[in-house]
Amino acid sequence: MELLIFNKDTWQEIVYTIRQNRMRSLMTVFGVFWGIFMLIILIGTGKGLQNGAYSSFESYATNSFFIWARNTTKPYKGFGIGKKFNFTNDDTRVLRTTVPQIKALGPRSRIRGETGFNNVVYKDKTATLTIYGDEPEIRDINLMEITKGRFINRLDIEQKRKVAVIGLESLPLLFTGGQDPIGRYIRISGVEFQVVGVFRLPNKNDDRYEENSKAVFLPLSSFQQTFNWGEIVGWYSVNVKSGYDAEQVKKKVRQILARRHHVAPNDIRAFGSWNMAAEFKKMSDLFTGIRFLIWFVGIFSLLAGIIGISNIMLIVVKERTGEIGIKRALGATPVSIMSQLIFETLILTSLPGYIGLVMGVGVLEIIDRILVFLRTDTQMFENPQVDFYAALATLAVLTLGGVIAGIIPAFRAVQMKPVDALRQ
Amino acid sequence: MPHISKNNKILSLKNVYKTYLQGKNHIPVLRGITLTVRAGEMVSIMGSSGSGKSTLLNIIGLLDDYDQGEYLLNGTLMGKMNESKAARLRNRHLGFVFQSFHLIGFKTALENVALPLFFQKISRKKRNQKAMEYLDRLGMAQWANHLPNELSGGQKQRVAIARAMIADPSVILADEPTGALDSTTSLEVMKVFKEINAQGITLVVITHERDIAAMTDRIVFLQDGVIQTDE
Ligand SMILES: Nc1ncnc2c1ncn2[C@@H]1O[C@H](COP(=O)(O)OP(=O)(O)O)[C@@H](O)[C@H]1O
Ligand SMILES: [Mg+2]
Repeated sequence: MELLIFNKDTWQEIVYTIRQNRMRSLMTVFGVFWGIFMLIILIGTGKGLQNGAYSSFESYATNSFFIWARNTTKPYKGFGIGKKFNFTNDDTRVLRTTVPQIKALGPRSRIRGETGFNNVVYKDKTATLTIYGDEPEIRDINLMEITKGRFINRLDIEQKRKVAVIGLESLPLLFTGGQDPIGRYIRISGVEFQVVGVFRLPNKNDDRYEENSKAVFLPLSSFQQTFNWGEIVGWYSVNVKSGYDAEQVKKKVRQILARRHHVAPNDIRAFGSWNMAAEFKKMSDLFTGIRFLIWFVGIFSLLAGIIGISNIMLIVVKERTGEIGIKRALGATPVSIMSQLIFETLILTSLPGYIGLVMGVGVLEIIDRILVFLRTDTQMFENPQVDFYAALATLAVLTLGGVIAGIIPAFRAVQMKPVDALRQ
Repeated sequence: MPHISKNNKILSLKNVYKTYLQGKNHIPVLRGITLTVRAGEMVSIMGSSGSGKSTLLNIIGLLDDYDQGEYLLNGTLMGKMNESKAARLRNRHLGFVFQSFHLIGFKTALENVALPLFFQKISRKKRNQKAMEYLDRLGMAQWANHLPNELSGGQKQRVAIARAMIADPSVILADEPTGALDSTTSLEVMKVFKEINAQGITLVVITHERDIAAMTDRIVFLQDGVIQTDE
């Protein structure tokens, strides 16, 4: 048997159907096209916004938090409010040994580069750069790429080595074209440090990219010595083992630190903190919601289109009752009449739907090209796309919808006796 | 269906009743029809409007069902059957010609003629070839690629007759085939029918014109759902 799709009669009837109700069919067919097109655009836009938003988190392990010391806001153990306190190397040791939920603890200190400060010098060149004191663990929290040499290691910390890892972006400020910085000595606040590595930040969408991509990393111990910080630690970056709630671990860390520094147990505001995990979850929840909304709206507009097609087919069946009667008199079985009608409906839905899908993906591609071309540093929107499965799901919904839309008209078509159909 | 020899009872109705239900009213249309048509006969059915001629022909053509009695098509009882089986029987054994032609408007003459073979799932090439042959037989070859609305009434009916013949039916049923044609064209169509009949195909023709009926072997006269005369 000739397959319906290769059959000239099938296509003849589809063309005839459209011609017979030109305006109505074109509007309905356009409805399906538009439904799919918009669904794809919405999915792509949602994905683009999501990519944009997620990318600002890309420089960090998301299951992490930061905690720093502020001034006390409650009197405790004879101290008044406003007591200053600092984290110390002892705190680091205690936290590392007593909180098993911590995957990596990064004690950090920082001196921010301020304009005109010119704190870093190489030969006759000077630059104003932010200086970090860090331990190797920081690499489990702040994601960076070492493009040359190495990062700070345990021995650097233990031996308070005067070594530095500098940002790829800061190289042009200190070294003339193409000079290999590794092994050279730079002066930071009058102290010489040997460059042992160069890093690069992977994510330009980070708020702090401008500053941090030009930073200098020193071993925390050397930092404390050079800048006379003693045992002081600026803040902790903490990566929590997966499966543990960052908020709970943060609470525990805060309790330990409060006890050690004689801060009232309920003096929450004595600590500053930022829970990356919670922020990330908030955002991923938001995007889950957006995605749900998009599919909800999309499916319903698609459904409206499919119902429209079904209606058109009902009208077609009604108008062609006589013709169906003729065919039945000549020997068309109900099954063949029905399958022809269902196939027609399927074509009327899936063809415009498929075009909508292709055009939607095309438009997203063009938007993406334009974004890349403009090199917008906007964090809002990035790489709008429809993944393969979403496209597949859309096609499945469409096909299923087309078949369902055809079923009622098809049944209607063979409901009558041939003689009654012929009488029309 | 086995080979049909002359004198075989190709159509046999015994006491066939048919009542239409209109709202709450039962309208008896056929009230005990007993009729036998032998293979190769050419029979006309006459009667006033509303006497049940079309109803009878539709029952014979398996387009409608009957309430009581027996109808045998070439010896096989046609009782209640599903639509697929009826469609198959119509396709293989029956040809139809109607007063209003019933050609499909967006199909060419050739495609219209080929339609019964399409439902036999015969390939496009073969069915078009055969359709062309039948159109040629009816002198319509040069109109093969025209749409029905480009044809005159007589030409349309020739196309319809070609379509009725293409599947080699044993019986052709025609419901007032000349009703929409002028007298000259009517006579031409009847001549075609006579030729077809001469090839051994049984013909049942409804008409209310005496001279048309006179061209057949036998005239059955229907009145109020019963056979008045059979001559
Ligand atoms: N589907 C139907 N429903 C109700 N009444 C019908 C139907 N078909 C035919 N009739 C009635 O049956 C009678 C016979 O109709 P028909 O067989 O078409 O007569 P004829 O062809 O001899 O003019 C008429 O009175 C007609 O109104
Ligand atoms: Mg009639």
